[in-house]
Parts: sequence; structure tokens; C-alpha cells
Amino acid sequence: MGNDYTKTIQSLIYQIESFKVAFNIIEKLSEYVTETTEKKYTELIDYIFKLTQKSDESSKHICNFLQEVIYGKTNLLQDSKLLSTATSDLTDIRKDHEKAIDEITNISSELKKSMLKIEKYSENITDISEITSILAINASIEAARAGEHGKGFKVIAKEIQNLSSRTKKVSQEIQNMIKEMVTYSVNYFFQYIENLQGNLAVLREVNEKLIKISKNIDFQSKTVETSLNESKILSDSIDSYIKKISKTLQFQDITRQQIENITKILSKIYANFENSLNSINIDITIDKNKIEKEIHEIAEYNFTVSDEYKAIKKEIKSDVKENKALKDKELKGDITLF
Amino acid sequence: MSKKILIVDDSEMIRNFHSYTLKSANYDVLTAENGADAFEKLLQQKIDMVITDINMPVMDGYTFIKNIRQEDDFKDIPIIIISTEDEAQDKEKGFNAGANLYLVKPINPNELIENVKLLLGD
Repeated sequence: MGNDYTKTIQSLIYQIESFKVAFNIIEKLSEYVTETTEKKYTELIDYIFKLTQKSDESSKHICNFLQEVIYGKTNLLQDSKLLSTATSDLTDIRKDHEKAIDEITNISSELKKSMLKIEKYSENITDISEITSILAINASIEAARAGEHGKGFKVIAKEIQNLSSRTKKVSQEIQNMIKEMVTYSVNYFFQYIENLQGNLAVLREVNEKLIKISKNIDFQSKTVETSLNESKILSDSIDSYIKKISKTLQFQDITRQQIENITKILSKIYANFENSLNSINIDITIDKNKIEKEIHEIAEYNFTVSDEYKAIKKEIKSDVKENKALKDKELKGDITLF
Repeated sequence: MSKKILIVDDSEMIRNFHSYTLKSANYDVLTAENGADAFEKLLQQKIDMVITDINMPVMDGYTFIKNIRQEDDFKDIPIIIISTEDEAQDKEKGFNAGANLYLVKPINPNELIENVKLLLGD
């Protein structure tokens, strides 16, 4: 076998051995990266699940409570309707009150007019009785002049005079009585109207307050109903997002599977190569320690993340530790990440 | 009472995904890390359905399904395979082992629920 050929084979074996060492590092690094990523994803998903469950439970509690308040035994909506009916009834009562006051005011005004008319009639009666009295006096004078023939007429004239004075007296008495009665009635009506107006003011105030409360409850009920619907929409959308995340993160598992497959293929290639080498049956010595040292040096030179050192079973370099500490310190402030 | 589904996958993350999806559809869920672990759990309690991965350590999905189908009690239990393997030969291997359905990752959660309901007659 020629010297050049041996050298070529030696170089090839050297490269393959270097590849094997590098491949081991890559394999460990891949394992480490997939494990760490999967662990972080699992923690994240677990956290999201728990958060969603808690949020879901809280939402359900709130929804149940609000639904109970609005539609349940306490039935705020029903109460709101009752309140609305009561307010409407109160408005009717208030209107009836106002109508009654108007009617009473009209009646007392009519009563006053009637009293004035009666007063006038009484005055007429008094006038007529006075005229009758004068006529009776004149008649008795004429009867006295007529002597014996006027005696009967004198008696009648006297009676007419008596009747006239009694009529006048009775007429005045009636006038006084009616005056008194009308005055009493009108005063009574005025007092009644005053009381009614007082009640009406209270009714108006209560009515206005009830209308306000009723409107407010109605508004609050609608707001709560809207919030309930929004909460349901939000809960559904969170669920939908989680399902989307769930699908996306399955690619992590696919990647892991692909790395495992690549590793299997490369291991098989290497095994085939070793078999081929053994079958050549040539004696070539390779310094495997030297190769490992070289590859590790290349790896260390290229590694930038402290965790990568775990793949070559080496402690993190002190300057990396310092840099990490410095980074942590710097990250606390207001920073911009690129 | 809710039906119980056994999820078998070596990835905790995937077990969690499927668990969440099925729990959200009101199913009870039990999980196992590989075929051997799952088979033990299957013997211990009443399970209505099995959802399994293929590539797992200790006992792979194909062996696990074959073992299930050999037991008289589990001849009719619905089995779904959810795997990253998309080749026709993998699917054929799955059906030959005794699976009722073969789904390829990534799977849409709603699609999973629909298929589970269909197989369970819900």
C-alpha cells in the first residue's frame, strides 16, 4: 500500500473522528435544547391552563351570581318590572289627585257663585218684603180712614205687615245660614285642597325618584347583561387562542422527532464507516484525545450561550458568568432589545 | 358520568395539550408516558378510548396497540394514533396493529374532538 494512500486514509479517518466528536456535541446540544424548550413550553402551557381554568371558574362564579341576580330567585329584572308598574301606578294616583284638586276648585268656585246668587235673591226678597210692609202700612192707614168699613181690611193689612216683617227676618236668616254654610264649605275645600297639594308634592317627589331608580336599574341590568355576553365571548376567544397555540406548539414535538431521526441516520452512517474501516484491515493510529481537544476548543470558541457549555460537560467560563451577571443587572433598567 | 380517555405520549407537553383539548369537551383524561405504562393503567380501570403516539421509549405505539387487541376486554375499544410519521406505510402499520384512526401531528384540537365524538358515538 502506498504512502500517499495511507496518508489519505489517515486524514479521512481523522476527519471522520472529528465529525464523530462534533456530532456527539451536536447531539447532546440538540437533546439539551429540545428538553429545555419542551420543559419551558410545558411550564408555560401548564401555567396558561391553570390561569385559564382559574379565570374560567371565576367567570362562571361571576356569571352565575349575575344571572341569579338578574334572572334567579332575587330576580332583579322582575323587581325592576314591579318597580316600573308601581311607578306607573303612582303616576296614575298623582294624576287622579291633580284631577280631584281641579274638580274641588271648580265646585268651590261654583258654590261661591251660587252663594252670590242666593244673596241676591235674599236681597230681592228683603226688598219685596219691605215694599210689602210699606204697602201694608199704607193699607192700614187707608183702612183707618174708611172707618167701620175698613175694619176687616185693617186686620188683613196688619197680617200682611206681620208676614212681610217675618219674611224679611226669615230671608235674612236664610241668607246668613247660606253664607255661613258656603263660607264653611269653601274654607273646608280650601283646606282640603291645601292638604291634597301637600300630598301631591310628596307624590311627585317619590314618583320622580322611583322613575330615576327604575331607569337606573333597567340601565344596570342591561349593562350587566352586556358584560355577561362580553365575558362569554372573551372566554370563548381565550379557548380558541389556546387551541391555536396548542396546534402551533406541536411543531416542537415534530422537531424533536426530526432531530432524533437525523441522529439515528448519522449514527448508522458512522457505524457503516467503522465497519468499512475494519474491513480494510490497515493499522492506522489516531490520537483521539487530540481530536477531542481540538473540537472542544472550536466549540468553546463558537459557544456564546452559557447553557451550551453543558453539551461539552464543562463549567461555564468565569467571564461568561460575569457577563451574564452584568446582563441581568442591565436588564433591570429601561432597555431596548434587538 | 364523563367518558374516560387514556392519552399515551412520551412528551409531557403533548399530553398536556391533548388533556386540555379533551377536558374542554367534558371528557375525563388519564395519561401515560409509554405503551407499557399505558397498558398497566388500562388493566387497572375502565377506559373508553385510547389516544397514542407511535415513537415512545420502553414500548412503542404499534406494540402497545397489538397488546391491547390481544385482550378480549379491549377488542372493541376505540384507538386513535396521533403521530408525526406521515408515510403511507406507517399508517398501514398502525391500522394493521388495530388502530381505528390515524391522525398526523400537528392536529387541530377541534378536529381531535370531532373524531373522538364520532368514535365514541357522542
